[in-house]
Amino acid sequence: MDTDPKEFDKLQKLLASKEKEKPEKGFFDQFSDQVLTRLEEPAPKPTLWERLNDQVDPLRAAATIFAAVIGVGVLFALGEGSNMAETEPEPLGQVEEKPATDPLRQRQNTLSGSGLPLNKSEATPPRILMNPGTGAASLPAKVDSSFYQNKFASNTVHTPK
Amino acid sequence: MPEWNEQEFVSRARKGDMEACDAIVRQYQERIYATVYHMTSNHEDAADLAQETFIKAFRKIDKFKGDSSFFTWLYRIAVNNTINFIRSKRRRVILSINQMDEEWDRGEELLGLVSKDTPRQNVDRHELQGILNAAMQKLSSNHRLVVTLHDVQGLPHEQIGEIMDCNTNTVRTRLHYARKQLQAHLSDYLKS
Repeated sequence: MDTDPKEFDKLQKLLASKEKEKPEKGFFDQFSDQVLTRLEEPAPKPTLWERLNDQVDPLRAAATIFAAVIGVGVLFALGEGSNMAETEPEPLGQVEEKPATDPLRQRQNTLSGSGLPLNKSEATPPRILMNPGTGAASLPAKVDSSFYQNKFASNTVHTPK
Repeated sequence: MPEWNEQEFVSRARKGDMEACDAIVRQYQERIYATVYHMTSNHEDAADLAQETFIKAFRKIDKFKGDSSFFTWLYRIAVNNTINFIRSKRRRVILSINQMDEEWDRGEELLGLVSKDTPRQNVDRHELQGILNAAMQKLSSNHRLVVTLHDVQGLPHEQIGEIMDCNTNTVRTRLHYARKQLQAHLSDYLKS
């Protein structure tokens, strides 16, 4: 909207004329007495909100709330992190063995019933996992020596006899 | 009436001197009332809110630190009180407009400002006041306040900034948009 200077001037004069709107005569003669009479009356009990408003600086309150939220967030995040560490899946074969529930078989630091020492801190995975192929019987291969003869010169297909 | 000395009267009012309180009320009553009246366009509400302003000020006078003038501090209470009142008011705004000062005999001049192409040719002075006040009520409370303090009461931008707790540029911007809106609302009456 373009501002017409003449319209703007008229508007300012109209607004300035509002200053001449006055209450009825004698209104201000009694005004101070009314204020002082009301002032001597007991003050109404302030509401909780008014008391908070008076006693708490809104900027400080906002900063405190913000800090509290951040603090709770950090604590929550730390808690979540430690939970994740606790529940992290252990490598195969390192799962802690549960103690036997049978009191007759409960001998400290021994495999229940076997008497073998159980060292939990030095638990090692089964050898089959450490060295794949371990324990499998090695058989000597039967090789036909003629198979390795130089046969690249011809295109004939040789099959082992 | 004793000579006006703001600091001295404020200091005495702090100690509960009712004579000093009376002097402070008489010194500022017209300006505080006018501000609230132009914000509400209702005499009864303005009278009540202006009284509340002084009562609140005297009850909290210990919190006046002297960072600004007592008048600015008082204005701030009046303005906040009025804005809270306007926001909390759910009912429709009822205009209760005061008559123009009888000594100000420039009604014809005022009517001369109105365009001859107005929707109604025979708009009278009181009607024009009503139209202007109704247009003011269409503004947001912040825009209405800045127009009241600057264009009606003639306060400088700097003091308005102190009262409204904002910088001078914000005051100028608000004033610009408020005037534009008023021009739009009153365009039928202001045409050249």
